[in-house]
Amino acid sequence: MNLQQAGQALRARTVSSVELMRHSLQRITQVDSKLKAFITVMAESAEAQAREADARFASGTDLGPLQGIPVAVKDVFCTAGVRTTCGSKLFADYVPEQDSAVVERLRSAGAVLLGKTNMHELAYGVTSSNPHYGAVRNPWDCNRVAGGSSGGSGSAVAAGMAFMAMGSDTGGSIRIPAAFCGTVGLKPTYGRVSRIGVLPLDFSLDHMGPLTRSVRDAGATLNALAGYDPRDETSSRRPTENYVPSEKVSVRDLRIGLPENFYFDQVAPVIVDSIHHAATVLERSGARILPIRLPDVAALNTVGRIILLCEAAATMQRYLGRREDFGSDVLALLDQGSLIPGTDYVNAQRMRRVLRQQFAAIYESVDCLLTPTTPTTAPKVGQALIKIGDQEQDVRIASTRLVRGINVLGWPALSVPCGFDEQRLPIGVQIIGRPFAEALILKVGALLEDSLGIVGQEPRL
Amino acid sequence: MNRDWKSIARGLALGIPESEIEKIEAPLQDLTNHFNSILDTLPHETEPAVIFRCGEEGE
Repeated sequence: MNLQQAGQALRARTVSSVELMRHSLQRITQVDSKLKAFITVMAESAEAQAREADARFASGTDLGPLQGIPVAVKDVFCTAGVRTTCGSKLFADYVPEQDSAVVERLRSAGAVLLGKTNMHELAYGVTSSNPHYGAVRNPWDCNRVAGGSSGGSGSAVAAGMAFMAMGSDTGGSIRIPAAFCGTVGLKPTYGRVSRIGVLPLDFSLDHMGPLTRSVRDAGATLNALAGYDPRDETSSRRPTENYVPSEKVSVRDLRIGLPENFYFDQVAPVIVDSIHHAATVLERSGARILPIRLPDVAALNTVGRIILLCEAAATMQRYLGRREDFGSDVLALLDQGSLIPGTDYVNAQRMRRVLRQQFAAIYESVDCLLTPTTPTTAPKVGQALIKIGDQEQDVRIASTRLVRGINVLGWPALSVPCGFDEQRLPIGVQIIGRPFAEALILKVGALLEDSLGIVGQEPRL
Repeated sequence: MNRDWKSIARGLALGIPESEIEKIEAPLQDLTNHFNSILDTLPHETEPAVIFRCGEEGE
Protein backbone atom coordinates (compact mmCIF):
# COMPACT_ATOMS: atom_id res chain seq x y z
CA MET A 1 0.00 0.00 0.00
CA ASN A 2 1.33 3.47 -0.83
CA LEU A 3 0.58 6.89 0.66
CA GLN A 4 -2.29 7.71 -1.67
CA GLN A 5 -3.88 4.28 -1.24
CA ALA A 6 -3.59 4.65 2.54
CA GLY A 7 -5.24 8.07 2.26
CA GLN A 8 -8.14 6.57 0.30
CA ALA A 9 -8.53 3.81 2.91
CA LEU A 10 -8.55 6.40 5.71
CA ARG A 11 -11.24 8.42 3.96
CA ALA A 12 -13.30 5.29 3.23
CA ARG A 13 -12.95 4.46 6.95
CA THR A 14 -11.68 0.96 6.13
CA VAL A 15 -8.63 1.71 8.27
CA SER A 16 -7.83 4.26 10.98
CA SER A 17 -4.71 6.34 11.38
CA VAL A 18 -4.03 4.59 14.69
CA GLU A 19 -4.14 1.23 12.90
CA LEU A 20 -1.78 2.45 10.17
CA MET A 21 0.57 3.89 12.76
CA ARG A 22 0.59 0.70 14.86
CA HIS A 23 1.20 -1.37 11.75
CA SER A 24 4.21 0.84 10.93
CA LEU A 25 5.56 0.54 14.48
CA GLN A 26 5.07 -3.23 14.35
CA ARG A 27 6.98 -3.34 11.07
CA ILE A 28 9.79 -1.31 12.64
CA THR A 29 9.90 -3.79 15.54
CA GLN A 30 9.98 -6.72 13.08
CA VAL A 31 12.68 -5.58 10.68
CA ASP A 32 14.63 -2.61 11.97
CA SER A 33 17.02 -4.56 14.17
CA LYS A 34 18.28 -5.91 10.84
CA LEU A 35 17.96 -2.78 8.67
CA LYS A 36 19.03 -0.04 11.15
CA ALA A 37 16.86 2.48 9.32
CA PHE A 38 15.85 4.44 12.42
CA ILE A 39 17.91 6.34 14.98
CA THR A 40 14.92 7.44 17.05
CA VAL A 41 11.39 6.02 17.08
CA MET A 42 8.72 8.37 18.45
CA ALA A 43 6.05 5.82 19.37
CA GLU A 44 4.27 7.86 22.06
CA SER A 45 3.87 11.09 20.14
CA ALA A 46 2.98 9.15 16.99
CA GLU A 47 0.10 7.48 18.85
CA ALA A 48 -1.19 10.90 19.98
CA GLN A 49 -0.88 12.36 16.47
CA ALA A 50 -2.70 9.38 14.96
CA ARG A 51 -5.54 9.79 17.46
CA GLU A 52 -5.76 13.49 16.54
CA ALA A 53 -5.91 12.55 12.86
CA ASP A 54 -8.70 10.06 13.48
CA ALA A 55 -10.60 12.72 15.46
CA ARG A 56 -10.23 15.10 12.52
CA PHE A 57 -11.57 12.51 10.09
CA ALA A 58 -14.49 11.87 12.44
CA SER A 59 -15.31 15.58 12.65
CA GLY A 60 -15.07 16.03 8.88
CA THR A 61 -11.86 18.06 8.97
CA ASP A 62 -9.41 17.12 6.21
CA LEU A 63 -5.96 18.72 6.03
CA GLY A 64 -5.11 16.91 2.81
CA PRO A 65 -3.42 13.74 1.53
CA LEU A 66 -0.90 13.46 4.39
CA GLN A 67 -3.50 13.56 7.16
CA GLY A 68 -3.15 10.46 9.32
CA ILE A 69 -0.26 9.03 7.27
CA PRO A 70 2.76 7.61 9.19
CA VAL A 71 5.93 9.27 7.90
CA ALA A 72 9.55 9.64 8.98
CA VAL A 73 12.23 12.29 8.58
CA LYS A 74 15.98 11.93 8.20
CA ASP A 75 17.72 12.79 11.45
CA VAL A 76 19.00 16.01 9.94
CA PHE A 77 15.60 17.75 10.32
CA CYS A 78 15.20 19.45 13.68
CA THR A 79 12.30 18.22 15.81
CA ALA A 80 11.25 20.23 18.87
CA GLY A 81 11.99 18.27 22.03
CA VAL A 82 13.34 15.24 20.14
CA ARG A 83 17.07 14.75 19.65
CA THR A 84 18.46 15.43 16.21
CA THR A 85 21.81 13.73 15.76
CA CYS A 86 22.63 14.35 12.11
CA GLY A 87 24.04 10.84 12.31
CA SER A 88 26.94 12.24 14.30
CA LYS A 89 28.44 11.66 17.72
CA LEU A 90 28.82 15.46 17.96
CA PHE A 91 25.05 15.92 18.12
CA ALA A 92 24.18 12.73 20.00
CA ASP A 93 22.48 14.76 22.75
CA TYR A 94 21.28 17.74 20.73
CA VAL A 95 17.60 18.42 21.40
CA PRO A 96 16.30 21.34 19.33
CA GLU A 97 13.72 23.74 20.72
CA GLN A 98 11.98 24.22 17.38
CA ASP A 99 10.85 22.11 14.48
CA SER A 100 12.44 22.53 11.09
CA ALA A 101 10.23 24.18 8.45
CA VAL A 102 9.71 20.79 6.78
CA VAL A 103 8.52 19.20 10.03
CA GLU A 104 6.26 22.20 10.69
CA ARG A 105 4.66 21.70 7.28
CA LEU A 106 4.28 17.96 7.74
CA ARG A 107 2.58 18.54 11.09
CA SER A 108 0.32 21.21 9.56
CA ALA A 109 -0.66 18.69 6.89
CA GLY A 110 -1.69 16.23 9.63
CA ALA A 111 1.08 13.66 9.05
CA VAL A 112 1.99 11.26 11.86
CA LEU A 113 5.70 11.46 12.63
CA LEU A 114 7.03 7.97 13.42
CA GLY A 115 10.65 8.88 13.99
CA LYS A 116 14.03 9.99 12.73
CA THR A 117 15.87 7.94 10.16
CA ASN A 118 19.49 6.85 10.14
CA MET A 119 21.86 8.37 7.62
CA HIS A 120 25.45 8.71 6.54
CA GLU A 121 27.29 10.60 9.27
CA LEU A 122 26.65 14.36 8.84
CA ALA A 123 24.92 13.58 5.50
CA TYR A 124 28.43 13.37 4.06
CA GLY A 125 28.62 10.09 2.14
CA VAL A 126 26.77 7.58 0.01
CA THR A 127 26.65 4.35 2.02
CA SER A 128 24.88 5.25 5.30
CA SER A 129 27.28 2.82 6.99
CA ASN A 130 27.17 4.94 10.09
CA PRO A 131 29.93 4.26 12.66
CA HIS A 132 27.83 5.62 15.54
CA TYR A 133 24.25 4.41 14.80
CA GLY A 134 24.85 1.30 12.70
CA ALA A 135 25.10 0.50 9.01
CA VAL A 136 21.76 0.93 7.24
CA ARG A 137 20.96 -2.19 5.21
CA ASN A 138 19.20 -2.50 1.88
CA PRO A 139 15.85 -4.35 2.20
CA TRP A 140 16.43 -6.03 -1.20
CA ASP A 141 19.66 -7.62 0.07
CA CYS A 142 20.75 -7.02 3.64
CA ASN A 143 24.39 -7.51 2.69
CA ARG A 144 24.19 -4.37 0.58
CA VAL A 145 24.09 -0.67 1.41
CA ALA A 146 20.89 1.34 1.21
CA GLY A 147 22.79 4.24 -0.36
CA GLY A 148 23.17 7.62 1.18
CA SER A 149 23.19 9.87 2.72
CA SER A 150 19.42 9.44 3.24
CA GLY A 151 19.82 5.65 3.47
CA GLY A 152 17.55 5.17 6.48
CA SER A 153 14.75 6.96 4.65
CA GLY A 154 15.17 4.76 1.57
CA SER A 155 15.32 1.59 3.62
CA ALA A 156 12.32 2.58 5.79
CA VAL A 157 10.11 3.34 2.77
CA ALA A 158 11.18 0.27 0.77
CA ALA A 159 10.67 -2.05 3.75
CA GLY A 160 7.19 -0.73 4.51
CA MET A 161 8.07 0.98 7.79
CA ALA A 162 6.90 4.45 6.63
CA PHE A 163 4.77 5.63 3.72
CA MET A 164 7.09 8.57 3.11
CA ALA A 165 10.43 9.58 4.56
CA MET A 166 12.13 12.91 4.08
CA GLY A 167 15.69 13.11 2.85
CA SER A 168 18.24 15.78 2.07
CA ASP A 169 20.35 15.86 -1.10
CA THR A 170 23.67 17.71 -1.38
CA GLY A 171 25.25 15.55 -4.07
CA GLY A 172 22.67 12.85 -4.74
CA SER A 173 21.65 11.90 -1.19
CA ILE A 174 17.94 11.48 -2.00
CA ARG A 175 18.30 9.97 -5.47
CA ILE A 176 21.07 7.45 -4.68
CA PRO A 177 19.17 5.67 -1.85
CA ALA A 178 15.98 5.88 -3.92
CA ALA A 179 17.74 4.07 -6.79
CA PHE A 180 19.44 1.49 -4.56
CA CYS A 181 16.30 0.75 -2.49
CA GLY A 182 13.75 0.80 -5.32
CA THR A 183 11.82 3.84 -4.13
CA VAL A 184 10.93 7.14 -5.75
CA GLY A 185 13.17 10.05 -4.71
CA LEU A 186 12.53 13.70 -5.53
CA LYS A 187 15.09 16.47 -5.22
CA PRO A 188 13.14 19.67 -5.84
CA THR A 189 14.62 22.88 -7.26
CA TYR A 190 16.96 24.78 -4.91
CA GLY A 191 14.70 27.23 -3.06
CA ARG A 192 11.45 25.28 -3.58
CA VAL A 193 11.49 23.65 -0.10
CA SER A 194 12.70 25.60 2.95
CA ARG A 195 16.08 24.65 4.46
CA ILE A 196 15.26 26.27 7.82
CA GLY A 197 15.93 23.98 10.77
CA VAL A 198 17.96 21.46 8.78
CA LEU A 199 21.48 20.93 10.11
CA PRO A 200 23.51 22.18 7.14
CA LEU A 201 26.23 20.36 5.26
CA ASP A 202 26.58 22.72 2.31
CA PHE A 203 24.63 25.95 2.24
CA SER A 204 24.55 26.33 -1.52
CA LEU A 205 24.04 22.65 -2.44
CA ASP A 206 21.59 21.29 0.20
CA HIS A 207 18.10 20.37 -1.05
CA MET A 208 15.20 18.76 0.85
CA GLY A 209 12.76 16.25 -0.62
CA PRO A 210 10.76 13.04 -0.12
CA LEU A 211 11.41 9.34 -0.72
CA THR A 212 8.15 7.52 -1.42
CA ARG A 213 6.60 4.33 -2.80
CA SER A 214 5.07 6.08 -5.81
CA VAL A 215 5.58 9.15 -7.97
CA ARG A 216 2.18 10.54 -7.07
CA ASP A 217 3.07 10.16 -3.37
CA ALA A 218 6.13 12.34 -4.02
CA GLY A 219 3.91 14.92 -5.73
CA ALA A 220 1.43 14.90 -2.84
CA THR A 221 4.28 15.41 -0.37
CA LEU A 222 5.73 18.27 -2.40
CA ASN A 223 2.28 19.90 -2.39
CA ALA A 224 2.55 20.02 1.41
CA LEU A 225 6.18 21.17 1.53
CA ALA A 226 6.64 23.65 -1.30
CA GLY A 227 6.32 27.38 -0.83
CA TYR A 228 8.05 30.57 0.18
CA ASP A 229 9.60 30.75 3.64
CA PRO A 230 10.69 34.29 4.61
CA ARG A 231 13.15 32.83 7.17
CA ASP A 232 15.17 31.17 4.38
CA GLU A 233 17.00 33.73 2.22
CA THR A 234 17.25 31.26 -0.63
CA SER A 235 13.54 30.40 -0.57
CA SER A 236 11.73 31.12 -3.82
CA ARG A 237 8.70 33.40 -4.06
CA ARG A 238 7.63 31.64 -7.25
CA PRO A 239 4.03 30.36 -6.88
CA THR A 240 3.58 26.65 -6.27
CA GLU A 241 1.34 24.41 -8.39
CA ASN A 242 -0.36 21.04 -8.04
CA TYR A 243 2.48 18.53 -8.27
CA VAL A 244 0.38 15.34 -8.29
CA PRO A 245 0.20 13.93 -11.83
CA SER A 246 -3.30 13.17 -13.07
CA GLU A 247 -4.54 9.59 -13.19
CA LYS A 248 -3.95 9.35 -16.92
CA VAL A 249 -0.90 11.38 -17.82
CA SER A 250 0.15 12.30 -21.33
CA VAL A 251 3.71 12.91 -22.48
CA ARG A 252 2.69 13.45 -26.11
CA ASP A 253 5.16 15.69 -27.98
CA LEU A 254 7.29 16.20 -24.87
CA ARG A 255 10.93 16.54 -25.92
CA ILE A 256 12.99 14.20 -23.77
CA GLY A 257 16.76 14.42 -24.14
CA LEU A 258 18.84 11.25 -23.98
CA PRO A 259 22.45 12.36 -23.40
CA GLU A 260 25.00 11.26 -25.99
CA ASN A 261 27.94 12.04 -23.73
CA PHE A 262 28.93 11.27 -20.12
CA TYR A 263 25.72 9.79 -18.68
CA PHE A 264 26.07 6.38 -20.34
CA ASP A 265 29.86 6.12 -20.00
CA GLN A 266 31.12 3.62 -17.41
CA VAL A 267 27.60 2.46 -16.57
CA ALA A 268 26.67 -1.21 -16.01
CA PRO A 269 25.16 -2.63 -19.24
CA VAL A 270 22.00 -3.81 -17.45
CA ILE A 271 21.38 -0.23 -16.32
CA VAL A 272 22.00 1.18 -19.80
CA ASP A 273 19.45 -1.33 -21.15
CA SER A 274 16.89 -0.36 -18.50
CA ILE A 275 17.15 3.35 -19.26
CA HIS A 276 16.89 2.72 -23.01
CA HIS A 277 13.80 0.59 -22.34
CA ALA A 278 12.30 3.46 -20.32
CA ALA A 279 13.02 5.79 -23.24
CA THR A 280 11.28 3.38 -25.63
CA VAL A 281 8.23 3.28 -23.34
CA LEU A 282 8.08 7.07 -23.34
CA GLU A 283 8.49 7.20 -27.11
CA ARG A 284 5.66 4.71 -27.61
CA SER A 285 3.52 7.00 -25.46
CA GLY A 286 4.09 9.91 -27.83
CA ALA A 287 7.17 11.61 -26.37
CA ARG A 288 10.00 12.61 -28.68
CA ILE A 289 13.29 11.05 -27.57
CA LEU A 290 16.07 13.33 -28.76
CA PRO A 291 19.78 12.60 -28.56
CA ILE A 292 21.51 15.56 -26.96
CA ARG A 293 25.13 16.51 -26.43
CA LEU A 294 25.57 18.14 -23.01
CA PRO A 295 28.17 20.68 -21.88
CA ASP A 296 31.05 19.43 -19.70
CA VAL A 297 29.41 17.32 -16.93
CA ALA A 298 32.80 16.27 -15.54
CA ALA A 299 33.62 19.96 -15.01
CA LEU A 300 30.27 20.43 -13.28
CA ASN A 301 31.09 17.54 -10.93
CA THR A 302 34.54 18.90 -10.15
CA VAL A 303 33.14 22.35 -9.38
CA GLY A 304 30.54 20.65 -7.18
CA ARG A 305 33.20 18.71 -5.28
CA ILE A 306 35.28 21.84 -4.60
CA ILE A 307 32.21 23.71 -3.32
CA LEU A 308 31.09 20.72 -1.23
CA LEU A 309 34.50 20.15 0.35
CA CYS A 310 34.95 23.83 1.25
CA GLU A 311 31.44 24.57 2.52
CA ALA A 312 31.30 21.37 4.59
CA ALA A 313 34.71 22.06 6.14
CA ALA A 314 33.65 25.63 6.94
CA THR A 315 30.38 24.43 8.49
CA MET A 316 32.13 21.87 10.67
CA GLN A 317 35.32 23.83 11.41
CA ARG A 318 34.48 24.47 15.08
CA TYR A 319 34.25 20.71 15.70
CA LEU A 320 37.37 19.62 13.84
CA GLY A 321 39.49 19.56 17.02
CA ARG A 322 37.38 16.56 18.15
CA ARG A 323 38.88 14.23 15.56
CA GLU A 324 38.01 11.08 17.51
CA ASP A 325 34.30 11.95 17.24
CA PHE A 326 34.23 11.59 13.44
CA GLY A 327 34.17 8.50 11.26
CA SER A 328 37.36 8.14 9.23
CA ASP A 329 35.73 8.68 5.80
CA VAL A 330 33.96 11.88 6.84
CA LEU A 331 37.06 13.21 8.60
CA ALA A 332 39.12 12.62 5.45
CA LEU A 333 36.66 14.73 3.43
CA LEU A 334 36.61 17.49 6.04
CA ASP A 335 40.42 17.52 6.07
CA GLN A 336 40.44 17.86 2.28
CA GLY A 337 38.06 20.81 2.49
CA SER A 338 40.22 22.50 5.13
CA LEU A 339 43.23 22.34 2.81
CA ILE A 340 41.64 23.86 -0.29
CA PRO A 341 42.44 27.57 -0.59
CA GLY A 342 39.68 30.19 -0.48
CA THR A 343 40.58 31.29 -4.00
CA ASP A 344 39.56 27.85 -5.30
CA TYR A 345 36.20 28.13 -3.55
CA VAL A 346 35.48 31.56 -5.01
CA ASN A 347 36.57 30.43 -8.47
CA ALA A 348 34.37 27.33 -8.18
CA GLN A 349 31.39 29.57 -7.45
CA ARG A 350 32.36 31.75 -10.44
CA MET A 351 32.69 28.68 -12.66
CA ARG A 352 29.30 27.52 -11.38
CA ARG A 353 27.73 30.64 -12.92
CA VAL A 354 29.40 29.96 -16.30
CA LEU A 355 28.31 26.31 -16.29
CA ARG A 356 24.77 27.23 -15.26
CA GLN A 357 24.48 29.44 -18.36
CA GLN A 358 25.91 26.73 -20.62
CA PHE A 359 23.61 24.03 -19.27
CA ALA A 360 20.49 26.25 -19.32
CA ALA A 361 20.82 26.42 -23.12
CA ILE A 362 19.87 22.74 -23.46
CA TYR A 363 16.25 23.63 -22.72
CA GLU A 364 16.01 25.32 -26.12
CA SER A 365 15.93 21.83 -27.62
CA VAL A 366 14.53 19.54 -24.87
CA ASP A 367 12.02 19.74 -22.00
CA CYS A 368 13.82 17.30 -19.70
CA LEU A 369 16.63 14.74 -19.62
CA LEU A 370 16.48 10.99 -19.06
CA THR A 371 19.59 9.38 -17.51
CA PRO A 372 20.58 6.58 -15.15
CA THR A 373 20.54 7.64 -11.48
CA THR A 374 23.57 5.53 -10.57
CA PRO A 375 26.05 3.61 -12.75
CA THR A 376 25.64 0.42 -10.68
CA THR A 377 23.11 -1.15 -8.36
CA ALA A 378 23.74 -1.19 -4.58
CA PRO A 379 27.27 -2.21 -3.56
CA LYS A 380 27.95 -4.49 -0.62
CA VAL A 381 28.33 -3.10 2.90
CA GLY A 382 32.01 -2.27 3.41
CA GLN A 383 32.82 -2.37 -0.31
CA ALA A 384 35.20 0.49 -1.19
CA LEU A 385 35.69 -0.23 -4.90
CA ILE A 386 33.16 -1.26 -7.51
CA LYS A 387 33.84 -2.83 -10.88
CA ILE A 388 32.15 -1.39 -13.95
CA GLY A 389 33.24 -3.20 -17.09
CA ASP A 390 36.96 -3.72 -16.68
CA GLN A 391 37.47 -0.67 -14.47
CA GLU A 392 37.46 -0.50 -10.68
CA GLN A 393 36.12 2.74 -9.24
CA ASP A 394 35.77 4.31 -5.80
CA VAL A 395 32.19 3.62 -4.65
CA ARG A 396 31.63 7.22 -3.51
CA ILE A 397 32.89 8.81 -6.72
CA ALA A 398 31.01 6.32 -8.93
CA SER A 399 27.72 6.59 -7.03
CA THR A 400 27.63 10.38 -7.18
CA ARG A 401 28.90 10.78 -10.74
CA LEU A 402 25.49 11.01 -12.42
CA VAL A 403 23.70 13.01 -9.73
CA ARG A 404 26.16 15.49 -8.18
CA GLY A 405 26.21 18.03 -11.01
CA ILE A 406 22.46 18.62 -10.77
CA ASN A 407 22.94 20.03 -7.25
CA VAL A 408 25.44 22.53 -8.65
CA LEU A 409 22.77 23.66 -11.13
CA GLY A 410 19.98 23.55 -8.50
CA TRP A 411 17.65 21.85 -10.99
CA PRO A 412 14.89 19.45 -9.92
CA ALA A 413 15.52 15.74 -10.45
CA LEU A 414 13.50 12.61 -9.82
CA SER A 415 14.64 9.00 -9.47
CA VAL A 416 12.06 6.35 -10.35
CA PRO A 417 12.50 2.56 -10.22
CA CYS A 418 12.75 1.22 -13.78
CA GLY A 419 14.00 -2.35 -13.49
CA PHE A 420 16.14 -4.88 -11.67
CA ASP A 421 19.58 -6.33 -12.34
CA GLU A 422 20.47 -10.03 -12.50
CA GLN A 423 20.58 -10.19 -8.68
CA ARG A 424 17.17 -8.55 -8.38
CA LEU A 425 18.57 -5.29 -7.11
CA PRO A 426 16.60 -2.18 -8.13
CA ILE A 427 17.67 0.21 -10.90
CA GLY A 428 16.69 3.88 -10.96
CA VAL A 429 16.07 6.19 -13.91
CA GLN A 430 16.73 9.89 -13.35
CA ILE A 431 14.49 12.56 -14.88
CA ILE A 432 16.04 16.02 -14.78
CA GLY A 433 14.11 19.22 -15.47
CA ARG A 434 14.61 22.97 -15.80
CA PRO A 435 14.27 25.06 -12.60
CA PHE A 436 10.82 24.70 -11.00
CA ALA A 437 9.66 22.07 -13.54
CA GLU A 438 8.80 19.59 -10.78
CA ALA A 439 5.31 19.00 -12.19
CA LEU A 440 6.77 18.07 -15.58
CA ILE A 441 9.35 15.58 -14.28
CA LEU A 442 6.75 14.03 -11.97
CA LYS A 443 4.46 13.61 -14.99
CA VAL A 444 7.18 11.77 -16.91
CA GLY A 445 7.92 9.67 -13.82
CA ALA A 446 4.23 8.83 -13.40
CA LEU A 447 4.00 7.61 -16.98
CA LEU A 448 6.98 5.33 -16.43
CA GLU A 449 5.50 4.14 -13.14
CA ASP A 450 2.16 3.36 -14.80
CA SER A 451 3.77 1.65 -17.80
CA LEU A 452 6.66 -0.30 -16.32
CA GLY A 453 4.90 -1.88 -13.36
CA ILE A 454 8.08 -1.73 -11.28
CA VAL A 455 6.96 0.71 -8.59
CA GLY A 456 5.07 -1.04 -5.85
CA GLN A 457 7.08 -4.26 -5.98
CA GLU A 458 8.26 -5.04 -2.47
CA PRO A 459 11.40 -6.71 -1.14
CA ARG A 460 11.10 -10.01 0.73
CA LEU A 461 12.65 -9.60 4.13
CA MET B 1 52.25 22.02 -10.30
CA ASN B 2 51.54 19.93 -7.22
CA ARG B 3 50.68 21.64 -3.97
CA ASP B 4 52.57 20.73 -0.81
CA TRP B 5 49.55 19.71 1.26
CA LYS B 6 51.59 18.89 4.35
CA SER B 7 53.10 22.37 4.39
CA ILE B 8 49.67 23.94 3.89
CA ALA B 9 48.29 21.94 6.82
CA ARG B 10 51.25 22.92 9.01
CA GLY B 11 51.01 26.58 7.97
CA LEU B 12 47.32 26.70 8.81
CA ALA B 13 47.90 24.82 12.09
CA LEU B 14 45.08 22.43 11.20
CA GLY B 15 46.32 19.65 13.47
CA ILE B 16 45.92 16.99 10.78
CA PRO B 17 48.44 14.17 11.34
CA GLU B 18 50.86 13.77 8.42
CA SER B 19 49.82 10.11 8.07
CA GLU B 20 46.26 11.30 7.41
CA ILE B 21 47.41 13.84 4.84
CA GLU B 22 49.30 11.10 3.00
CA LYS B 23 45.97 9.27 2.52
CA ILE B 24 44.19 12.27 1.01
CA GLU B 25 46.87 14.12 -0.95
CA ALA B 26 46.56 12.04 -4.14
CA PRO B 27 42.77 12.46 -4.61
CA LEU B 28 43.04 16.09 -3.56
CA GLN B 29 45.78 16.75 -6.10
CA ASP B 30 43.78 14.99 -8.85
CA LEU B 31 40.76 17.14 -8.05
CA THR B 32 42.84 20.32 -7.97
CA ASN B 33 44.52 19.49 -11.27
CA HIS B 34 41.19 18.95 -13.01
CA PHE B 35 39.78 22.10 -11.44
CA ASN B 36 42.73 24.18 -12.60
CA SER B 37 42.32 22.89 -16.16
CA ILE B 38 38.68 24.02 -16.13
CA LEU B 39 39.60 27.47 -14.82
CA ASP B 40 41.42 28.26 -18.06
CA THR B 41 37.98 28.88 -19.59
CA LEU B 42 36.71 31.20 -16.83
CA PRO B 43 36.03 34.71 -18.16
CA HIS B 44 37.77 37.38 -16.07
CA GLU B 45 34.63 39.39 -15.28
CA THR B 46 32.56 36.43 -14.01
CA GLU B 47 31.06 36.94 -10.55
CA PRO B 48 30.44 34.07 -8.10
CA ALA B 49 27.10 32.25 -8.17
CA VAL B 50 26.68 33.09 -4.47
CA ILE B 51 26.31 36.83 -4.06
CA PHE B 52 25.69 38.92 -0.96
CA ARG B 53 22.30 40.62 -1.07
CA CYS B 54 21.62 43.70 1.00
CA GLY B 55 18.01 43.27 2.05
CA GLU B 56 14.98 42.18 0.08
CA GLU B 57 15.48 44.61 -2.81
CA GLY B 58 18.08 42.32 -4.30
CA GLU B 59 15.83 39.26 -4.35
